[in-house]
Amino acid sequence: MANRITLDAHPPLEMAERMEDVGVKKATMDPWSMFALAVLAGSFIGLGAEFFTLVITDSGLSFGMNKLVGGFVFCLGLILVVVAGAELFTGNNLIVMAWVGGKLTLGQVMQNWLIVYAGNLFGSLATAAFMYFTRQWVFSDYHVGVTALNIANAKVNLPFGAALTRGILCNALVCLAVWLTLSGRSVTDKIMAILFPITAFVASGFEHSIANMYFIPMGILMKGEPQVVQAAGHVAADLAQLNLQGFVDNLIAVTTGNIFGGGFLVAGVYWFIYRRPKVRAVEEAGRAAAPAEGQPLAADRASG
Amino acid sequence: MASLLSILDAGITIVVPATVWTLLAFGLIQLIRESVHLPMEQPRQVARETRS
Repeated sequence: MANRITLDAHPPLEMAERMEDVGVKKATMDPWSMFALAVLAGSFIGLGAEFFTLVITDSGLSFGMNKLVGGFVFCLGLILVVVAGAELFTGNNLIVMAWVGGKLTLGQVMQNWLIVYAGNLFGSLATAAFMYFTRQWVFSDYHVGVTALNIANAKVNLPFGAALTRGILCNALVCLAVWLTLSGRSVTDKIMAILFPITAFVASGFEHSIANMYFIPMGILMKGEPQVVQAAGHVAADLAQLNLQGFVDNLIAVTTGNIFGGGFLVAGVYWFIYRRPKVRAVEEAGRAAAPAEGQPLAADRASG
Repeated sequence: MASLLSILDAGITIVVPATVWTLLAFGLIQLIRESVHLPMEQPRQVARETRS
């Protein structure tokens, strides 16, 4: 039985190998295709963020349940990215694994990150603009707009250290979700793998740079709507930080945290566990000694 | 305890950005070097390959 059909999930060692190969494919893709896929990912995350904003508005649930439901619906964004296929900056922080494995140069990693980050920004901003023009924020007596305003205002008022550490933990969970999808063989496997890590990061209030590219511009747009500001009960001083400067400051801290959380704490750690040269040599020696059923042994092949 | 936490906090807010920004700076430099060298290398390589 040379070709065994199996429904088992891929074990972590195979996931690490697949991640390196996926990283090489992502980083060597045509730049225009990469940018187009990144625009899609920005839009998908924006749609997840919009769904989150809508669902948590006046839900009548307790604090924890409201967060749980919000986190659950936000998963839409990453499910679209993973299943439909798109290039998301935070998920692409896992490419670090292919770089430390020697399959990519740091320049190639950087090119991917720059193009994908720009594409994600474009997609998120476009989604925020579309949502603004839908006037969906007037729903529930402007309370959807109030939720968007409050989310954005809370984000731009975070101190640097808090935004950084929330960014680290956020992308550790996002990259773990992407990592888990590599174990799956079906769409159902992948969706199930995404649900818990993403719900956990959203419910915990961690910071995702690409989601913030939707949330904060949407809040800035809401700041310009007097009915929304009035319904929120804010005065101008409360919203002083909600501007382009606040947006950029938040993105610097959160993106830095995201790169550390995804690139170092997930990709770097799993590379060290499964793909560092010493471990890889032992693994390859083990494979040579115990070939698949029906295949000749390495010694037999050598002797002809 | 409080001072230990504040030292740790300062450590994270300094070490993490320093590590990430250094990585990004090296990456940018390498990207620029690769994009400058590649167009120069390609004609030379083609010339080498087509030389009889």
